[in-house]
Amino acid sequence: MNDWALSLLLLLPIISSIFVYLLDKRNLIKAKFLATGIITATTIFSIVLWFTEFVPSDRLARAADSDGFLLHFQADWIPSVGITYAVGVDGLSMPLVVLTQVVFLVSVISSFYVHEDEGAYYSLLLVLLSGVMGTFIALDLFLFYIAWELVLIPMFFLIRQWGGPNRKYASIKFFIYTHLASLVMLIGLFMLYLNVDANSFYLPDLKAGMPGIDVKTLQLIFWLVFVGFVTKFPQVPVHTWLPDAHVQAPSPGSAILAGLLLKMGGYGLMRIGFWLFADTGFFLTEEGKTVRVIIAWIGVVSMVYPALIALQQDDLKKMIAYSSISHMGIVLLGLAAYNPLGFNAAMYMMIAHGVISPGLFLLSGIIEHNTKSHTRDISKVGGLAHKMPFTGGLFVFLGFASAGLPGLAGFVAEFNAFVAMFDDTELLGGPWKVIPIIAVMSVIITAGYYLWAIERVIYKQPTEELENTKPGKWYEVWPVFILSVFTLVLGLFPAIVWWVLDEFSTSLL
Amino acid sequence: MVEFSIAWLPVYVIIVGIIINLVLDLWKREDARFWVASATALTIVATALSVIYVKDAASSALFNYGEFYVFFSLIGLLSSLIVVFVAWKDMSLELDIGVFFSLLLLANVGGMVIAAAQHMVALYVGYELVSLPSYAMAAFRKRDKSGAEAALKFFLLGALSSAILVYGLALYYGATGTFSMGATADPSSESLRLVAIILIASGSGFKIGLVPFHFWIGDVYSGAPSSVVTWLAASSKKMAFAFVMQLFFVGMKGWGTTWGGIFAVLAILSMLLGNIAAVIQTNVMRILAYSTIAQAGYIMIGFAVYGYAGNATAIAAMNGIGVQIIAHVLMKGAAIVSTFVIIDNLGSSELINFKGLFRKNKLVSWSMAIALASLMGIPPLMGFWGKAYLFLSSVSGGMTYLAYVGLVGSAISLYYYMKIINMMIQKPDDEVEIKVTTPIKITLVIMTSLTVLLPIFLERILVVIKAITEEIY
Repeated sequence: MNDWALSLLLLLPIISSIFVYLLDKRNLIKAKFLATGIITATTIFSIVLWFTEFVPSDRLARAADSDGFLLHFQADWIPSVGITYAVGVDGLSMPLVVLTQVVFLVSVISSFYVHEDEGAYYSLLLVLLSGVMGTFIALDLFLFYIAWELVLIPMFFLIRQWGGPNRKYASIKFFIYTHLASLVMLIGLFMLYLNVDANSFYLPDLKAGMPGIDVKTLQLIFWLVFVGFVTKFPQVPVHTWLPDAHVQAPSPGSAILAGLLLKMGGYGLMRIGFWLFADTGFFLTEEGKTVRVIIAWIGVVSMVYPALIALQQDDLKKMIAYSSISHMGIVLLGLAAYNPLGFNAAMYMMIAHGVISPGLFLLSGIIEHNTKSHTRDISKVGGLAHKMPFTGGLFVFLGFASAGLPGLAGFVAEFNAFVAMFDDTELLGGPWKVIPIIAVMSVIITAGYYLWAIERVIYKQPTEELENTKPGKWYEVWPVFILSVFTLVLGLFPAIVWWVLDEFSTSLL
Repeated sequence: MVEFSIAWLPVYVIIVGIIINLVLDLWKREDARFWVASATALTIVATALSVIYVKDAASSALFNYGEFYVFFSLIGLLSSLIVVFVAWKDMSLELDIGVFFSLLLLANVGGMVIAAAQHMVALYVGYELVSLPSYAMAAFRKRDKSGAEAALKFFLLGALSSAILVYGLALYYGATGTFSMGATADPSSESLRLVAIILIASGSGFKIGLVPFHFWIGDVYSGAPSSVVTWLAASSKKMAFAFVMQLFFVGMKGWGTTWGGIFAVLAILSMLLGNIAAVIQTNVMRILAYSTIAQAGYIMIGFAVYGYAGNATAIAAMNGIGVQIIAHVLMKGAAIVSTFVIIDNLGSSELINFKGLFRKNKLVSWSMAIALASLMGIPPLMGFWGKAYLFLSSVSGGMTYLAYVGLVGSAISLYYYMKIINMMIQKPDDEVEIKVTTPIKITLVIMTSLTVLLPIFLERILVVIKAITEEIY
């Protein structure tokens, strides 16, 4: 079972997408049910894999047999240039795999409101699932790049066909922007391959060959791949595609964008920027320290500046979009701290944000679908608690979670990231102490815009936009509830996932 | 006295094919379409088989019949098959359709001569043998004014480039003292060599469509009949690449650092200008024409690396060139054939005519979409692999700046390719049906499947390319 488990998770969605489309066209099986069924099956399978592969304590011994990865499978593809089909998971990718499945399941159920071109919508969603899965489990850089690019096409069409009023602009901007960044990353990957001189794109082979490369080349490679990943995160100053793409996408699409595509950038940076570089000692050199400080500055600017913009937004979705950029800044800060606690915090932030922000986007979708003129404007919507109490409560819950309330998932990540920065007495906790100080202070801004939005949207008297509003439909509200449960559990019992992350982080340093 | 050599078998097959075509044309007159097209298709298949059969035949002073010969002859022949299927419909209203197909077959003889040549004169003869029928094919629709104008432009510029090329070859003779390819140059002929390279590059750059020798492409592609455009883009251009490879890789072997640098400059110009010019076009055929210029630029990256960095990167560069050439036949061919369907049904290839194609005709729109995605370089389609290998070779040859320009060009190209796809997925304005003939349906299905499925067999292709590189390096 080990050999084909990941390939099944990877290939089943994309292959079944054709059938979902055709069966719906001929009105044999409704696309929404078939797609939900497939994704439910893969979600359950991935959770089963988590318990059978990761929980048993002999996992490290088993992983050592297969280059440090579990559920490992490798087959020759193009031997003359060293490209193989290789998949596997470790402490970094497995939580993200489970997260992918959960977020997709939640999104596919919330998509039941779509009535136009359903067959196309659900099949695109399935292709997207394969693409996101592929980036997390690929152990060969070419396979990684193929999956990375594969994500762009379904997302483009999802935004363009089912999105908001400015969707044409948003979709092509998203596509060209991220594609250009990916190409820069590809050049970096090529440089990596050529400098390691092992004629292999297989990650463990590359990791073994890294120590031989000189520092200047390592620095160039790092910056090239960094461009690609930081555009996906996204961080200032290449973040401008995100507000348009997130706002114009249909809410399940935004959920996947915010919950997963952003994490692809984080995963890529950790895997290729940090895991691959682990044995080279690059980050202990002068150049490496400069890199860390620059990353920290990018992170903290990306925390503060978008937060200030979020404060002045009227469109609820745009506010949440900017808050996503702000949260991803914490990931960079955790990475820049370069200690186990920092890495753990960065990874945990990816997971936490991956459950919180899809929930928030889906909630904004609920608001949009249930107001009279389909608006999300904070100034026009008010008093949601009177009309949709449960939904309003969920919004308050997730809003606080995003602001970092202790006891919920976001706090665990933020707190540990800040401690990690202060712990790093050499750089961030020392001469650059201003960075963590600004970061901690900026939490106030986050709390500010969320509280203010909650006050205006959920409480106060109901505006006329909510005149005929009834409580939200089950397929819109219950997915958000599931995500909230995850948020609570991950906030109260972080140990469930923490030890997996910790193992990975300590192995890096 | 004519010496018989078994190696000439493919030419004899073609000659038989031409005779059969002309006879069928005279016999059947108005009904000749089906017979002549089938006869041509069979001839092409038979020629392809005979090419494989005569591989490694004894070489003479003028020709050798190795891996390079087989690979490029087959590419030329198989891409001509696409032209046959398009011309079946496109030229259906013309009399003397047998003549058109005969010209096509003759041009293929030229392609085979180019691929087999070992001597500059033989190479040039092959080149002219490809060009002259092309000019005639471009002018084939006698009553079409824009076609006649396009053909005249093509002919005049082609003749001019040919003359420049011959001058360059003469200087090559001056520098080396012989017309054999790969000759060592007289040590004192530095400047003579440089001028020879520049003239030969200019003359041959015309056929490939390199900037600044590209001015004919936009007008000829949009003016000439679609089957001729298919021929030019999918088939003749590949023979042109083989021609340039023979001239530079084999012919001017030792002078790599000079012509490598020149090709690097031409590559950058082509990638940038081709992509930027395509952005403002509203006619899909013109967009494809400019994208061809850009694609030629990408392939030139491989040429530049091969020449300039040489040695260790030769195989990497050839990988890129070879895979991109195969990919280009498939994707450009599919794109042009799909555009032809629109021209055939709606009169012109203006962008607006593509509106709503997804609902009107699934086959054509999907073929077009996959072809455009491949041109964009979306993995895992063939077009991505070509670009990836080309960029990889440029990084490994230390010419990373070529890859940077390439990726800027790719990013720009996303815009105009997506413009076409966007138009196709909108709701149609009218209910006009888009009809496709069966031969074209088959062609589109085959080309699209190959674009999607060939990447699985990439290893096989790379093995062949490695053999070719070892032969000519």
